[in-house]
Amino acid sequence: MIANIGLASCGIAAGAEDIQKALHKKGIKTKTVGCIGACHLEPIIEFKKEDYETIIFCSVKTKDLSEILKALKSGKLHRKILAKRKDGKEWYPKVKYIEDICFYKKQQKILSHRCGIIDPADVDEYVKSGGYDGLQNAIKMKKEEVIAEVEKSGLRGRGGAGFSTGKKWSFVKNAKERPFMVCNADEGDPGAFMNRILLESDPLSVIEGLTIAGYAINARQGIIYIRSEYPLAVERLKHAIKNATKKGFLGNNILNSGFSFDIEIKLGAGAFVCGEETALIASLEGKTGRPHPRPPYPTDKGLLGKPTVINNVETLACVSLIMAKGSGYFRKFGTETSPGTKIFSLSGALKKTGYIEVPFGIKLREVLEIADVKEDEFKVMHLGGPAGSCLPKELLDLNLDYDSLKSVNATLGSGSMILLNHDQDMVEFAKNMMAFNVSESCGKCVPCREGTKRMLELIEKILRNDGKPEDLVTLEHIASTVKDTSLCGLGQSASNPLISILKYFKGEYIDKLQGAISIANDLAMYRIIEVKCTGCDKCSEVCPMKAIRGKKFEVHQIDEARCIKCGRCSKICPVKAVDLVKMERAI
Amino acid sequence: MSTKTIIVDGNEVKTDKEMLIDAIKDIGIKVPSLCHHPDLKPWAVCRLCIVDVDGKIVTSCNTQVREGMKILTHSERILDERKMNLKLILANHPFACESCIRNGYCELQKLAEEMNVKKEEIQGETRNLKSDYSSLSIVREPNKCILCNRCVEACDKQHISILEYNGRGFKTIIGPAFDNILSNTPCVSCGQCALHCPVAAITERNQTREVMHAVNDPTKHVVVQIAPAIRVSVGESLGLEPGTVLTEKLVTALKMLGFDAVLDTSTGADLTTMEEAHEFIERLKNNEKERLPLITSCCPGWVNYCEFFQHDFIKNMSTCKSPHMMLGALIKTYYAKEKNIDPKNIVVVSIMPCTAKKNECNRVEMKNDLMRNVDYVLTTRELASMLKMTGIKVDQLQESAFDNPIETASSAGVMFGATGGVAESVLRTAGFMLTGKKLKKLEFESLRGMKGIKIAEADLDGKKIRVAIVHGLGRTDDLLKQIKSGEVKVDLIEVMACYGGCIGGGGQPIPTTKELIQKRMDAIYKIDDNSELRTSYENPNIQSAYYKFLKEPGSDISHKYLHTRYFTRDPYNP
Repeated sequence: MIANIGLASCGIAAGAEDIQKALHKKGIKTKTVGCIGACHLEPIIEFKKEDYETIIFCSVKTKDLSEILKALKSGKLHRKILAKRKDGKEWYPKVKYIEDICFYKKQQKILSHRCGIIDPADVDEYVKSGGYDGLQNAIKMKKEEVIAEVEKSGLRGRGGAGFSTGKKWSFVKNAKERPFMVCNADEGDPGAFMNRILLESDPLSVIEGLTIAGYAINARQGIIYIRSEYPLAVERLKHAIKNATKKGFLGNNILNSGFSFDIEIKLGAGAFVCGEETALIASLEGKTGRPHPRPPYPTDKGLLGKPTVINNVETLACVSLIMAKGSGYFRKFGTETSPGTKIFSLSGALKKTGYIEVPFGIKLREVLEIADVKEDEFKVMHLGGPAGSCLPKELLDLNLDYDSLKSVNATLGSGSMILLNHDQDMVEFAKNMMAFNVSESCGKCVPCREGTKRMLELIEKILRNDGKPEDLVTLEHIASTVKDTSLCGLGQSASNPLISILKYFKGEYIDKLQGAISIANDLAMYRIIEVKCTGCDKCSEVCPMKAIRGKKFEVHQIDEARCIKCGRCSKICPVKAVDLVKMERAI
Repeated sequence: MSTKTIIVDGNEVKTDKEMLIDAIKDIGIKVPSLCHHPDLKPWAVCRLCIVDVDGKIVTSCNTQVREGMKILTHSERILDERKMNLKLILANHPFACESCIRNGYCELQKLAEEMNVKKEEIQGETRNLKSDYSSLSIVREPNKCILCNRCVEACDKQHISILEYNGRGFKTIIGPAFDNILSNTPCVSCGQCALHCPVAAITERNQTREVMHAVNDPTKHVVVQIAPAIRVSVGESLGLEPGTVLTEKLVTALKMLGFDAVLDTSTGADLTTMEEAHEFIERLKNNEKERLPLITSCCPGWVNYCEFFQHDFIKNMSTCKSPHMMLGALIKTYYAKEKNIDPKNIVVVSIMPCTAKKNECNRVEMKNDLMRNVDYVLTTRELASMLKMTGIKVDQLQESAFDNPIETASSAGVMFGATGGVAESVLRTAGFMLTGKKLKKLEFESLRGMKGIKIAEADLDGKKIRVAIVHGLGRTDDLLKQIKSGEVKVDLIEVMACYGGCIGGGGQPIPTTKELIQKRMDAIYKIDDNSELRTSYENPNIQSAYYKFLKEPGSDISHKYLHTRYFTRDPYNP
């Protein structure tokens, strides 16, 4: 019997290391694996007894272990069984296969199929499951042919811009100097952890992709620029690189092809802006991570003045797949202009957090199904973090791919999906996204440095109910200038969340403006229902005008003269004791 | 540069300029900009120079001209977004125009006027940073900074690089690393930063009040001297054509301001020429290989730079003080005796195109007999502000002569203001000292002009002298590397810290660009062309000074009053 312990960051955070120790005490062999995607169910332990099908247990606690082992001995059901895998002698007939459970039914795990299955840094396991097929195929082809194959696959950069990867590689085809090949692992979007998952669970797929890319563009040196806030990923990468080199998949004369390639790991130092190509290059050169205007593009003049190709982690994983199974296979998934699959990370107001891998073109509605979010609880899905945009109920039937999103002025971003329900104040959310951009702006150009700060101040002013209708106009004005005239991608997309929230939820802003309330609700008053009030004081805490009086545990009262009818007390009252009373006009 | 055809606002235009902003300027449209400076590399951060190129908004300062580009320079969207960016800059800029040193020649102020912008719709947090008054020459006011990077680039060009971005985002401050103050850095006070700043974030230290106080003190005899560069430059700050020569009218103006006597620093330059030519010939005669090539020492920016960063070349420096220092020393001795004035009551004020001299006159070595050689240094800009404050219209005044006993200067002394001028003046006198006769040809064209490093062989009627002329400290660094490696072998090097020489100095009128420096330079050489007295040794006032007081060049008295010494300084422990 061997137990595969989910030991990506999610599993470790849930306490899987203790479970591993406990299993060792009981004499059970364990294997470290990554994350299968259902992070909300960690710790996830998969037991392989002899040659029977693997049984997957979820939300395991140390105290469950004796019962679990007993159950496995006799093939008895256990309440913590999640599913089983079709990888051996059939048993547990009542348990579903993992592909058939709700969370996985609509997923297409072609990139992440090894995540949570193999030991992340084990080259032999990687090769046995089809790894390094891509590299073996590539080195038999001419470099131009590899570039052509990737171009044919239609692969688009997964970092957010969605630029054709093959085209980017072709820019250095006739480079006069040897180019550098860089992997951008500086995943900085709040809510995005797709790259982290791949690097912690199947780093070799990225390493292989980087090697293939290096081969195609005639590079000798590969660099992985990874944020220092991912120590586990760094560790697993280092380990994987060491093992790959030992087995001859990196270093001099790889697989006797004449192609030599080494990978160096460089850590970031805590700046979101260093995910931008020119800032990343500056950081690699030891300079402060501030972007430069483009042109010159990195493919012409990049790291140390040499041509440089920078690709995202997930893009490189796709490259391994394309060169292993062919561009035709890759194109079987997704759409014509957005082929392949995308890994999305789910977080926010939902139980089923984790990552999913779905084909492009899937509808937003279907993602809600996977995430088990009911439509009437759904308010908005925010795609792409602080550079992204909101998809409200109206867009439930929107296909998720680069071009469909562009047509509604939205962006895919890097793939972070934050789900929000009706408890979420959209103005507050806009403030959070803007505050991130303010703190991460490098400060070079006027619109981003000054504009994001002023937008944040205006949003905060509106949240304090101090805002006037002119402020909304100024806000929109600044937003469009920042979008149009900023020097780099950070500034150019800093206004996106605000612009899309204003598009679909303007009412939430207007409701908070001064003057707007009295016009709309002149004859309405908020009143506290005395019999219901528990005196918990929550309402007076949120009242921006300090219009609610009352001692703790005594009935509270609203001072109607001060009340601006913003409605926050009513929203927060846990016993629904605040009522909006409409009055008849006295004749 | 090949000629390309572009379409600007619907009109076909042929241009050979590389950058869009220059091509558009050629046809008579000046696209607004703040971080752009014709002498510096484009940085593209103010986002005011945006234009619409084929439907896309780009910054014109760093966009290259391409054949067939369709450009709109002032569509409604462009104007709107330029205004918004300007408003954003103004929202973080103190409302202090009326008391600001750059009132009237501030680029931000000018743009606000031109683009008809009021900032009131954007109000929020502003910076509250400490100003830096630690340096004797340069003042920093980070609250006014618009983060255009020009000072950083200017200091980088000088290979000194003490200014940089600190922090990130809204909290960014441009200044010395680790929030340090200027006096804790190896700043050489060349003032190139202040010369390029579009606002008043980094400026010269203003001492007009102290000077006017001294002028109005009846117990003090205040002598003012004007540098060669001033006469061809100050007109620009007063609305006159670049290159207007105002020498004699300036004398009248200064007398009107209340100065007791007005002297010409060019006479000090004549003194410097005598001493330095003598020193040069001595080193050649005695084959003092270690102290050759002789490097000029009249530029305090260069002296500071050498003491901090080029310790190996301190022994090559001439021991001569700079012209205004020599004249100052002479004023408090020779002049005082001739005029029967107690030197303790004499205040010497130098009007210089230079910020480094404010620092120089405080040096311990620049004192004789317990008195400073020069008490105050004012820049060209400060002179202009004094004239404006008192309403004196220089161009409308009568002409006056400088005061005796040192009223005449040779035009060789005036040439000190331009790069190559010091060497040329020294060679004219050295030629006489070596051959005993006046040189057949006094002009040395190969030493003149804006080329960064000029290496030439001067023929002093048979005696060949190899000369290197360099202006700009970055280029000086490059030249000295070549001297060290043996790649370049010369006998005499003239170093100016500022581009174009003193006429491009840190205290000069703003704006100063290569174009304007050239006009000032042309005016200086025109003075030389039209002058009758063209060599320092022929100057009768200088001859008198030696006869009556100094005895001869290189004498003990000359060494006491007109020569100095240098120190090695640690840039990390200034």
